[in-house]
Amino acid sequence: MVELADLSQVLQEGDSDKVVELVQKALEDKIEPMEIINKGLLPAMDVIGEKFGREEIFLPELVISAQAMKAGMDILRPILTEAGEKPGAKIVMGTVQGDMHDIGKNIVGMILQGAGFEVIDLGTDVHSEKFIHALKENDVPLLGLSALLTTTMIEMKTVIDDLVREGMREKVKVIIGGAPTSQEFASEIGADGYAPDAISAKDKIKELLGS
Amino acid sequence: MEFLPKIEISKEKITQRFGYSSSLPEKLEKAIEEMLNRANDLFSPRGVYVSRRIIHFPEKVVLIPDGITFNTVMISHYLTCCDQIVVYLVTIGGGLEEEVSKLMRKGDFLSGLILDAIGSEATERAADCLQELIKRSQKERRGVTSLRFGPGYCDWRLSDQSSIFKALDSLSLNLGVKLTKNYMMIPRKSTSGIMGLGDAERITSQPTPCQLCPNKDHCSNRR
Repeated sequence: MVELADLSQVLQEGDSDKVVELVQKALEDKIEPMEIINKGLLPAMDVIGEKFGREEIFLPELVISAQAMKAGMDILRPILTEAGEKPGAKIVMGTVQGDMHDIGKNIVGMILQGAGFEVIDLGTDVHSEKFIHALKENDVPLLGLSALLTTTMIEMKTVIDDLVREGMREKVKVIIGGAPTSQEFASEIGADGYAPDAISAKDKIKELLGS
Repeated sequence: MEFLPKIEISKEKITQRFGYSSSLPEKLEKAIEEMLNRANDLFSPRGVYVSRRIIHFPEKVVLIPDGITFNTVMISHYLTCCDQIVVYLVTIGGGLEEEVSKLMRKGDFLSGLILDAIGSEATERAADCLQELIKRSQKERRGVTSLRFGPGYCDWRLSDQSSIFKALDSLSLNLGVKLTKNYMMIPRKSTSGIMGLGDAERITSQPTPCQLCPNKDHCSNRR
């Protein structure tokens, strides 16, 4: 019988192969997928997130563990979908129009996927209309906007203004991130949250969605 | 156009970029070594520059004879120790960032992250190489180069990238670097800016913008 504490340990060590092996064994042992997530995978990522917050580990190690988490979730997600269970809410995200930077956004997306969210990543240089369309099409409660330039971060306000114009602002929470942004800027443009890094983004999104 | 010498990037430089000061997990160390090997064939550093005389105003620097202005109080003040500046643009090309995108699309975020950091380091080292070339050209005149600054540094707005590209005129196209309407350089692994030329004693005794900056105790880019 697989011990979920062992799964948690190998995930903290960032060993993707071992995570895949133990998730499969846990399923063979008839452990419920949500139990594998809630008692094996998520507590490990919480430990990793705390270490990252205390600067005991740095971004590459966070990414190594998040990749291992994603490898485990990739096995569990189709099983949950088939059973009609949803591990997490849908999130639309992208880099705003005029900005082609995507490294940070991609890492945030991976962390969120690992945390169980269904991420619809629209890529870079995304026009406001495209964000609105994706939110409507998929009935999504949260939008993540990224910008790396002082000249493009103002596009975040355009997207928020368009959400208001479309009558969607009450239904969609907006979180922003990227080097030139700040909590002050988020408040100024009417965003619901700001995250300086990937772990804060995950925590803030959970807080905004009350999950 | 100056084709700059091949740049050797050390493992230590990359680990420092990520915040590490001591030993690394084995898996990460191997990943960095692998990406350093792969990066070798993915970039070709090159740069262009022009030198111009300048006039100083309290809030800007104006190039002569073009009349192109760089609007920055702090850097303008620093450059009062120089009567000439070099406007430069350096790139390592687009090959490395294409490979980063490929890795990210494949879901190999760790390799993508590391390769991107190698690209950023290589771009800065390429600018160092160009500065070294310019410095050598100044030796006969007993001149030196000042610190380098680009739009986005200190109080210098990113929108002044257009002035940099204007000063370089067609040289930027020869280099293969484009500026978008949002002042982003393509390829992204490019860097532009200015450096002063002048008398060694005057330049080294001039307080840097960092020394005078009210944010000096909190800025991670302090020099």
